[in-house]
Amino acid sequence: MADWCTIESDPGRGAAGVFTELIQKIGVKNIQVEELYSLDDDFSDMKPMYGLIFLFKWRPEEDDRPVNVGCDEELFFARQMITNACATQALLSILLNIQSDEVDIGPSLRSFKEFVGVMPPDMRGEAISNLDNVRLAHNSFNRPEPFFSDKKQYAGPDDDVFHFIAYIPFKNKIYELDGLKAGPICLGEVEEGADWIPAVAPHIQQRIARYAASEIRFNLMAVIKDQRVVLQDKIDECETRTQTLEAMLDGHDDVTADDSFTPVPLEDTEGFEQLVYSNDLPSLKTQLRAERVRKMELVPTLEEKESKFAKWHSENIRRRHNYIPLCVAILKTLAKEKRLEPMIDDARQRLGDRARQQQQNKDKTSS
Amino acid sequence: MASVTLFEFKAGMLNATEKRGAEGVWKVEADPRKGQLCLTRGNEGAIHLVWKLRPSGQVEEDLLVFPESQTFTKVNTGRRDDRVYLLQFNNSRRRNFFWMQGKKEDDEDNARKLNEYMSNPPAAPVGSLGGAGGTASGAPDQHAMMQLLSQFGAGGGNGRQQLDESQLQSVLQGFGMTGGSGSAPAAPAPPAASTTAASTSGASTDAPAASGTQQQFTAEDLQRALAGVSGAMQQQRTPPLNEIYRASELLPMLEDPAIRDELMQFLPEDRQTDQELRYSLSSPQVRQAFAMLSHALQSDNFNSVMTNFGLDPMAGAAELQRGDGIGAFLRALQAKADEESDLYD
Repeated sequence: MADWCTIESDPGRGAAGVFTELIQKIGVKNIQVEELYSLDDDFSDMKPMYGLIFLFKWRPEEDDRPVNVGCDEELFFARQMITNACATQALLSILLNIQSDEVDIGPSLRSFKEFVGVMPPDMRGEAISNLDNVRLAHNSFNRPEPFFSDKKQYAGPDDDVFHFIAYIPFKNKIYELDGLKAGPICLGEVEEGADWIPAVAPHIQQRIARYAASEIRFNLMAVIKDQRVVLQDKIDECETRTQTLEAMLDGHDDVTADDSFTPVPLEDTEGFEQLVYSNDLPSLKTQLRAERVRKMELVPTLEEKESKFAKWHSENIRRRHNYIPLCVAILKTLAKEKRLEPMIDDARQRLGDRARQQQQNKDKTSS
Repeated sequence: MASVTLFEFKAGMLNATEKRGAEGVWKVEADPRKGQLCLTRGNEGAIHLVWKLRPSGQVEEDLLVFPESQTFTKVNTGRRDDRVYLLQFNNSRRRNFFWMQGKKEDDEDNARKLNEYMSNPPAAPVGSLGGAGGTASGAPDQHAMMQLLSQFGAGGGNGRQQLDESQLQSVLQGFGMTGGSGSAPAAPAPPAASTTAASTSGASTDAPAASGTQQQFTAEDLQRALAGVSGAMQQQRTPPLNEIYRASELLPMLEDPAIRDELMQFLPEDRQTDQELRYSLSSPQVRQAFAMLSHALQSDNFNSVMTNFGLDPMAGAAELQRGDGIGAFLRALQAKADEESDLYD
């Protein structure tokens, strides 16, 4: 069995960045993962959401819900065969089930999807483990393990074992996909074309409530379009409209904008076409003003996203890097500068003081 | 416990308590069980005197013995038929009493041989024991190490044995730590043991270290043993590296371009800038790496760390004896830094 390793997933610490880069490395185009801090917010700018990933510290729990094995042949579900690959498993559960034509999952995943299309769930799981480029992408995100240790092959009570569950919309139904279970769990139905998030939200809220009560750490992420691409597309659309409107208003500087006119939103292409067709100059002027304002708002937002991606990239580079040699070089430098001994003494002093303080506190409370 | 028995004879034990108010006078009570007193060479190369039960072979007492450091002599109990012998250590008030259980006519001979062999252990098992000794596995003998430590400082005070130079040498040799990298242990293993022993470092480390036939030093075992060590000894342990390291010490040194260059090469390839260096010094990644390094130095990975960074474990021998892996590493590092500084002066 090929060699996988754990992607360090510390909820709240850059998991979305790791997964985003992972997805892109597998060849999926223009998709990213974004962290959600609650399910109550609007999220209109993040929709459509192709799937949700709930990540939490795993512990065995009772679950009587029936599992729908073989409910839909086309639904990709794989039982988790490889330990420590559950992040990738959850991501693939979402990516391979995306129905939208808008999404390009890339040649690797496309051919993989065809290949496993007819396999039963446990074989599909094994097929994942043989997906070399997926494995390599997964592994390239590992924390370097500079020290070989027999002892850490199995997670102990102090180790955090994180588990990932995917939630997806699939052909008018909502599913919970957990690789450790025998099959997908159908959570309900959703109308064609409707937003599935309100339907799935209560189920996730229940989980959150359960875990929050026991202080189990968790994290929620959404698989969405790459926001940089979305914003750039919007800016481009804005730009095109602006040019059109400027051309039409050229030479008509005396026209006053019609304040009663409600500008046509960016998504409403038909509405804009009609406006252009109407050739109503005051309305056009209002629209032009709106487009310029829109662009002024979108550009900094895009810059923000770019800088977040850049930060994620830096974090991923740092995450992959083995810092032990730097540490030894640091210590050696301190040794050469004759600062090492005094620092050791200082540390001893600090620890001693701390221990004494703790002892005093202990004595105080017990007396 | 895998080791080679060099010499043995049937003997029982007596429990001894020093009489209160009368130092040097011991009250003894015979343990009626059948036993065996064995002189063995442990996996790590040290010589043990082991008392086990017969026929189970269960070990009840395991003592380390050194050349010229103890005597095994007959005790005059005042009763003619008593066959009580005393094992007495030169530097310690420790006393073990045994009573012979074999043929009476062999008593004197056994005692004499034991004395002789404790100071000059035979290369191979003696007499009927000749031939392959126990199956020596590759794993270092945890029990032996704990014994070693319990004699070197557990409890402090009267129980302590002071090691002299040659004893220290032989202990360290046994743990494969003499002469820096590359030297085989000086204490020759008995021929029988060397053919049956898994002489590769069968433990978990993958150190390509010199120590092809040397046993890897499991500092972790020392850790455990030292859990029982006195508070004063504990205080001497070097704090973990992330406790010692303070970025504020290093930041001013970055003014020196030589230091900057030296450190920058260890940053990720496409991030070798001043800014990244500054960030790294205070980063969670570096903090975490110091913690990992500390952990590694207190575990089986001690040897591979030392080898990887070209450090001489002998430079930290004193710390190692206390089970202070971190301290040993830092001392060796300081030694290396001093050496390199001298080259450039």
